[in-house]
Amino acid sequence: MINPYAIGKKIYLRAPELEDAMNSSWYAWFSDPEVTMYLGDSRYWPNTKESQIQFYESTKNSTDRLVLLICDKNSDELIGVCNLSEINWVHRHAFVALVIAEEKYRKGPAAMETLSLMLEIAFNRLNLKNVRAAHISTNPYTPVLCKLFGFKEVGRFEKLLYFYGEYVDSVQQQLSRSDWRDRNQAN
Amino acid sequence: MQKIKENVVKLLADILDLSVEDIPNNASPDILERWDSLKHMLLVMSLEQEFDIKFTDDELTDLLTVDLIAEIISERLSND
Repeated sequence: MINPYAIGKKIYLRAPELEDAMNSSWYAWFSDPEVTMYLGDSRYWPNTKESQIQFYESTKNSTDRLVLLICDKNSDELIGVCNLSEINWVHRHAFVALVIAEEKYRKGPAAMETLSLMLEIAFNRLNLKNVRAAHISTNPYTPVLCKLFGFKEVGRFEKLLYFYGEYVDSVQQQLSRSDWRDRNQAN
Repeated sequence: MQKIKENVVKLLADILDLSVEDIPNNASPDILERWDSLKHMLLVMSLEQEFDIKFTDDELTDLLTVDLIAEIISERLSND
């Protein structure tokens, strides 16, 4: 493993390096419609190596956004990216998001392991009180993932997002640290 | 444990739209093409309903095969 920040059973998370922005598939993921289909605004515009480097430079020392690459523990291969964004240190909340970009890893437990690690980071390492998630209402994956990890749907922005010819809802999810701890101390 | 495994297999077969006989003894997503990540999450939700349990984050990432699922549920039920 290379510079692991959080270690799971089959994956680990690490900080991105300039080299990742320049010479990995990271930037190309965000031009691939299959990867970006259910993402927010990043699916409308092609990504480039230059814009990936700019993104890396803008986030590397950020205190309101934690970006981590998801890597295979056995091979160190990059399989996706995740982040806590809009971290609010006063009210102690943030948005969580993740993408399993490499197709062969989408079938496995990578998304669940990543979310598990991100919640551990958010609640136990960064001392956040609430973690939020938002997804397009046509996304079949995220609501199920959120439900499994105890998120509650707390509202919707109706017909807010344009998705392949129609306007659809933006679904807002929230998980509190107390709910997360209760569930993880259940047994 | 065997009864739990039978229930897991039944739920899995239902979600994958297969018959119970199509689910091999050592079933896992690696073996069954239809067992993708969405079906897996739906299976886990059905298991929580069927056995009236909530898996911890740690358990969620261990539910990798039918055998492991049955083992974890069996352990949970014996602890409750």
